[in-house]
Amino acid sequence: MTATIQFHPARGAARSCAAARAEPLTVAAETAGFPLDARCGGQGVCGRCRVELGPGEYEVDGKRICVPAGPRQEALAFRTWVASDQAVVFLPAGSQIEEEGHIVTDFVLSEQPPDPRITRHAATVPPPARHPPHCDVKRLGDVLPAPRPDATLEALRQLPAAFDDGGGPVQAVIARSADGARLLDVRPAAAAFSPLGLAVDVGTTTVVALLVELETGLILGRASRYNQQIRCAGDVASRITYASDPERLKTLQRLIVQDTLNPLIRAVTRHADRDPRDILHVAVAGNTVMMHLLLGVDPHSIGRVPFEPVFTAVPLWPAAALGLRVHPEAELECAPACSAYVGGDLTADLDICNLAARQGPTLLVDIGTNGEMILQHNGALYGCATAAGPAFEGAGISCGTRAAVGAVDHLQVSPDLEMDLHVLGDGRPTGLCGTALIDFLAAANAVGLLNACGRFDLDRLRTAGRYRTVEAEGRTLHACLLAPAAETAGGRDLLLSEADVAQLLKAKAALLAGAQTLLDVRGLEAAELKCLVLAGGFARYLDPRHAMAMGLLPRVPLERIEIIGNGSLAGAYRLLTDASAGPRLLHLARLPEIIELNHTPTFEDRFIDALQLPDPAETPHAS
Amino acid sequence: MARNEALFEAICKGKRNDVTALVQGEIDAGTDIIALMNSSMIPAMRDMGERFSRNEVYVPEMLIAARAMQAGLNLIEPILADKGHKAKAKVCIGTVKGDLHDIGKNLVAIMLKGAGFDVIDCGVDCDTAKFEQAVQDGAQAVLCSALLTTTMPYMKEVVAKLKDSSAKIIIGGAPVTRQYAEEIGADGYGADAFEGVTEVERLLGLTAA
Repeated sequence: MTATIQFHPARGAARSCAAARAEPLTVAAETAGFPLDARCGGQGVCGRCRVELGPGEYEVDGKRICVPAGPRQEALAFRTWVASDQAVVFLPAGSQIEEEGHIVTDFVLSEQPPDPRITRHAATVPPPARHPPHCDVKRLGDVLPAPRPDATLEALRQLPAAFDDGGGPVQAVIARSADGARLLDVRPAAAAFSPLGLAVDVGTTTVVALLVELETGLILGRASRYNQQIRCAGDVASRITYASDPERLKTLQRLIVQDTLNPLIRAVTRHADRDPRDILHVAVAGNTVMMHLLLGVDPHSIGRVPFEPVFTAVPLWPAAALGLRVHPEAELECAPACSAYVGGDLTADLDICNLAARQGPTLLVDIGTNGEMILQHNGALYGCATAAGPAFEGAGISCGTRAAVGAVDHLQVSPDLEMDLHVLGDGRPTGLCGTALIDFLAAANAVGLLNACGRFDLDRLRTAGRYRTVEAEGRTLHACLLAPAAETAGGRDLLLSEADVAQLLKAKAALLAGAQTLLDVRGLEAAELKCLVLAGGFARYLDPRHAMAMGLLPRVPLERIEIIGNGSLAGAYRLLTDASAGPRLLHLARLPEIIELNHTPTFEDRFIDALQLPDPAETPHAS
Repeated sequence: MARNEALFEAICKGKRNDVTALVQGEIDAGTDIIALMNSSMIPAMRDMGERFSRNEVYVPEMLIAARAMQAGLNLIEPILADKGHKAKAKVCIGTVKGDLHDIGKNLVAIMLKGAGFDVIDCGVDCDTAKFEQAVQDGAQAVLCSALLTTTMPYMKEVVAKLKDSSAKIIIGGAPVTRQYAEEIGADGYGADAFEGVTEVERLLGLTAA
């Protein structure tokens, strides 16, 4: 049985599709071209796939309901099936996955001449001599630098066309590694061609790719896209659960390869007017679970005690074998992980900020869904990961959103509660992204609108005309009005409730308690830190003064904070352009001693302390 | 005994050092500790729990208050043990096998103690044998916690193993739902720490003291 469902997105034209009644609304919406956010994998926990049901009959959580014309009824798409021939469904902006995020990724690297592992060599191959008889590969190998490379199948297939009369000038592409050298491709000398690499940061939520010219290190293009696996499950833990079934594991791998990476490859090569077949090196960095899913390896062992991954490092792998649309012999190189939860993204950060060689105690914090961090003290490294959760990515917060066009990215609050919102792309706001949520907590704490436990001063809210209530699960919550419905993109009030504040406090407490516990393990105070290094795409846009003022980060003088940005992407870039980076990352990944926070007695105490907002009188020093 | 307002307030506000000083003062003064528990400490946790249910307080304040309560209990528990004080019931609690996340579990444990239960804390990463042992040791209810969706399925094994025992099984934790509790045949479910305690009281046929 099929039903015709008309989907009305928050922006753009409605589309209809015929959907099988056996499929939940999420599948029908995706068929219609509106992929919905379903972070929890359809368990009904995250509430991100919320839709509004218009006229029609439905089955919601096993209960049959009929929605007449008139007011719409809210439901979770993952738990809703259409039961009539026709139905009309409205999709709020917050429930749709946007194709392009706004998290623009940047990193700073010291200038160094490129020394790629995969290189092109010009050579002139002598014509065949009759005695002794040889083959083309042998004669080519004779004129290439030692060690003699093993020819790949694709190189053999290209040889006849590259040779003019059994020899002549050619360009040969060779990949060197600890295992020797491989001849990846041979082209005529006259062919216009430059070997390319693709650097990828595979984030749980966002994936960023750079197209790089290997010989010059030039970045020819950049594209980002949400990791399409979020259609199935949002955070790392629910993705591990989703992958427990072999078919679903395959689905996750297809979503990252076919639906995320291949479109990114298409986008960057088309934009730079290059052939995807010129990409000979693909370097990726990401957390350990993302690496397992990319390679199609079941990650379930990461989700239970003793949290051991199947692998931390993998040998070079043919990228095409995974289904990536690049050169058939292109090599896939993954940044090695330190442990199950301190992943290859952190190994890359370690390399980029040169943590091991720094003078004085230094703390590296990668601000993401999994707050991963590494402390360097007297040359030794100590790492931990803390489940901050996705609150600072906007998930689970009523007015939260990702850092996309329409998101409020920064805001100011005056003592009389005047609010100044800055919107990405300038239009009307759709919600607040993480950086603005941090600004709000810092400002509300400073002006006394929130007390240490995150409760609003209701009289102040009432006086300023900003007091609202929110009904949730039959309870009434106090909330602060940030922007009235008339001024927002969705035509709804932008509100932050006390429950939202509590969520944010839990997220920031996890990160801060993790950092303080690492310091405790070494008997250090935050003030003794020579440097606090912030990594992650989000870190570049965050106001570190506010992050310290609301207690997300340990307090250090502002001038000791260094922001490296997306170190994961920078590390992948280095794998492409620096032949020594691969072995160096392998070495670095083995250095950190992993501290299990749950086994550290002070962690719980630190966490409970960190749940409160800091005393606003102790404002961080500005330089 | 009249409520010790200062102690009641100190617990609700989570002032751990004040609670320690006030309880120690009462002990030194020779106050009836059981009466102090019943008049001031248990009502403080119950008040917090009720306010939590009404969304007047949130998890951060609950955790801070529970920690202050625990500071007081640390002083009182040895005295109660000496006096052979009889708790209203004995229960056990632990995070299931594979799960090390115990902050939520610890909160429920303190709420249970605060409601007058004798609590066997089985700790983290508990297999069925640990829960069985606690039941043999007299636990009338078994509370299982899981924070991860990856460890939650183990609750099914706990239920299967203990279904023939007299103990009631109550499950909870971030990914756990009432529907899941019904699916695996658990006796009860707590959406939050306070609900967990009231569920135990309901299942054991005890009304709140």
